[in-house]
Formats: sequence, structure tokens, C-alpha cells
Amino acid sequence: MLDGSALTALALSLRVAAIATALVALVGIPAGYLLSRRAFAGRELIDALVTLPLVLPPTVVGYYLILLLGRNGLLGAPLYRWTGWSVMFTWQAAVVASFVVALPFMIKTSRAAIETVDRTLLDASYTLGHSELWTALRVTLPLARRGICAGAVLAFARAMGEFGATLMLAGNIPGRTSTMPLEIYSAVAGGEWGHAHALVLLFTAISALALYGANHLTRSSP
Amino acid sequence: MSGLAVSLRTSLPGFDLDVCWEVGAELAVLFGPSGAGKSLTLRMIAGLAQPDAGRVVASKRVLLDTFGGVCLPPQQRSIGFVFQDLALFPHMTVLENVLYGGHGIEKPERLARAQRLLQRFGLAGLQRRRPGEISGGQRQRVAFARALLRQPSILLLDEPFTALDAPLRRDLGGLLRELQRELMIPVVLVTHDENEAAVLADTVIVCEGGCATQQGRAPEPQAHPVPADAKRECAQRFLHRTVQHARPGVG
Repeated sequence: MLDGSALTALALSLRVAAIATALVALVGIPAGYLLSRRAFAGRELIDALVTLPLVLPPTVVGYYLILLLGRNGLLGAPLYRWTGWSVMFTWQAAVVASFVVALPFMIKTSRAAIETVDRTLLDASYTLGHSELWTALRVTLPLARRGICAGAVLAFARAMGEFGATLMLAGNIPGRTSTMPLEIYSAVAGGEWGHAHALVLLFTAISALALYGANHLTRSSP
Repeated sequence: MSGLAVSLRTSLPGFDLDVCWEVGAELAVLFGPSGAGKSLTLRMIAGLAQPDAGRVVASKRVLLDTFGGVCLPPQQRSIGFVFQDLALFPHMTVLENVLYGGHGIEKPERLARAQRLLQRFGLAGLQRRRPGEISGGQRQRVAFARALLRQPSILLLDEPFTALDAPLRRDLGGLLRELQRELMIPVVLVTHDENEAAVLADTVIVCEGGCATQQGRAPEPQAHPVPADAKRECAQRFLHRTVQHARPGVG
């Protein structure tokens, strides 16, 4: 039942989700830090803006991404002019779609985790001569790491499950942009129930494993 | 001669702070009830809070001068700070906590100093323990060691003994006095405990409702109980009373 196309889809999904999660961590952790530690004008507005993909239908997110990255898009047009390359209908587009929908999970959870770190510990670090960056790396982030890891796992799970925005931006090209959820959709649409069955079971197992890992991380001792 | 001169003024909703005092290389106690602005004063000296106006000079080095536009960040003030809840890093071992206080010191020297301090404070066998795995008194000593590793030019302590029982308080108070004599730097201790103030202090600064109302020289516990500084009658009366009070515990 798990034929070549299923494994290809699985490999693609894992690759897309892994890269998207790495990017999400790279952007989301500093963003969560700044949102929790710095008071600046428009802070809650920015928070709301990055959280928006959490509540918008993925097709709407995908539509915005087309406006931004499409061949005639705000960023897509100049990119296409200079390089002759467009992100549309490539596996990288699936990464972009997954990144945008998974980012709020990382920002929300890391902001909450960083806010719970005792402010006095940071003051102690400052009086001991350490800069804010060093304090963040040695004190804040290590103490918030369980929440941050849980956020990363949630982001990974969300990236794995991404469907709507991926379909809009990357299409459903077998072997190239057809991730697990798209492959499942194609299998059902084509009446290949056995294939769909196997894919669904595999996907459920991987998601359950990810959630188990997240729980384990949040419960283990500091 | 190293000393610490502090003058701070700030207005907060429902609370005004206006203090001005100067201490030498001695153990000074900021004494007063909770909410008198003692902790806030320490935080402002350390640069963790900003006053509306003020000037802080430590060993002739200007740390803060709002009129002159000087406001060094806490990192550059070279102040050892022991927090009320000690603020030990729970994810680091005892040794790592102490080493963390050695910013800017070469690694071998930092380790050597940390070992010396741990030895000195009777913590030698506990290096690999986490703060959660040692006793309150031991945690206190770790906080001292961490604050002292960089050899700060002032040591500030914000009610560090609150969580301890009486015998431990006495031990650690004694250790603190000993350290002050050794380092010869200004040590400022915040407390609302009369006995602690009387037993430990060379100088007592009384804080009430955001003002440093009195300052007086405390006599050695063994010496004549009447303070020498005649200009500050209120302080004298206060100290006389507290010293009397504390006598049985001291003697």
C-alpha cells in the first residue's frame, strides 16, 4: 500500500516541515523575545499581525502569499526579473506556506515561555556585567527552553499538516510539491482508498509521535 | 578612600523617593519598614531602575549624574548585588553560578578565584549541585561568592537573610562583617530587622516613606552604647534604643 509515491510524499513533507521549522525557530524565537522583553509602539499590533495566519483560512494566507510572491507579486515580480526564477509551484513554495502558518505557534509559545522567566535573574546577570544578548543566550532562553521546544514541535506538526496555502502557492505536482496532505487529497479524489488509508495512518502516527515528544519535553525536569 | 555618595529623587504614582546619604568603606544598613523605598534605592544605585534626578558616586567614579547626562548601565557599575530571593540561576550548578559572576576575567584566573571563594565559604563539596539541591544558608553563600568574584567596588544586599532562621542569620551576618573588613569597600545592607541593623551596622541610615530621615554612626557592640556623632540626635536616640534592644543577643 505504501508505494513509491507515498514515500516520496512523506520524504517531501518531512523535508518541507524540517526546513520550515528551522526557519520558524530562527525568526520566531527572537520575535518572541522582543515581543516579551521590549516595550515599543505597535507591539501588540505586530503580535496580532503575526498571529493572523492562525485564525485565517489557509487559502486566504495562500492568496496573500500569491499577491506577495507570485510572478507579478510585490516581491515575486522583481525576483523574477532579476533571476528568471519564481517560487511559485516549487517545493520551496511549500516551505514558505508552511513557514507562514507555523510561525504564530513558535512566536506565541516562546513569548509566553520567555515572559515566565524571573525578571530578577536577568537583573542579576546585568549586575554581573553581562550584556542583554549574553543574558538572553545563557539565562533567558535556557530557562524558557521547554516552552520553546514545545513551540517548535507544534510548529513542525502544523507545517507537516499544511494543505490550503501550499495548494495555492505550490500547486499539487506529484513528486515535486505534492506533500502528504495533498497526496491524501489526490488519493481520495482519485478513488484510491487503499493508498489514502495507508497515508492517513502513517500521517497520524507521525503527528502522534510529535505530540508525544512535545509533552515529554514540557514535562521533563528543568 | 573608597566611599559611596548617593542622592536620588523620583516620583512614582503614590510614592515619592528623596534620599541623600554618604557612606565610607564600612557596613551601612538601610533600615526602615517595608515600602520605605529601601530596595528601590539599591536598584537605582545598581542602575536597575532610573530616578527622575540624582547622582551616585562610588570611589570617585560617577555612576549616575542626571544633570551631567551620565547614566552607566548596570553592566559597567562594578557593583556586587545580592538579591532578596538571591536570584541564583536554577539551571546552573553552584560552580557555574559563581563562575558566571566572573565576566571579563581570564578563564584560569576565574576558576582559581571561584575555587578560593567556594573553599572560603564552605561550599567546596557542593560545586556540582544545583541551587535547588542545597540548603538556604548554602544558597546564600553561593550568592555572596557570585557577587564577589569580580571584586566589585561596592556590595549591595537587599534583605538577603529574610528566608533564614535566626542562628543562620547570625552566622551569615558575621561572615558579612568579616568580608567587609577584608575587602574594605562600602557594603550597603537593606533590612527591616532592628536587631540585624544594630548588630551589623557601622552606620545606620533610617528610611521612612521614601526619605532617608536620619543617619548615625553605630557603636561597636562592645563599646559604649552612646553614639559619638552628636549632630544627629534622632539617629542617636534610635540607635541607643536598638543597641540596648540587641544587647542580650550580642553579648
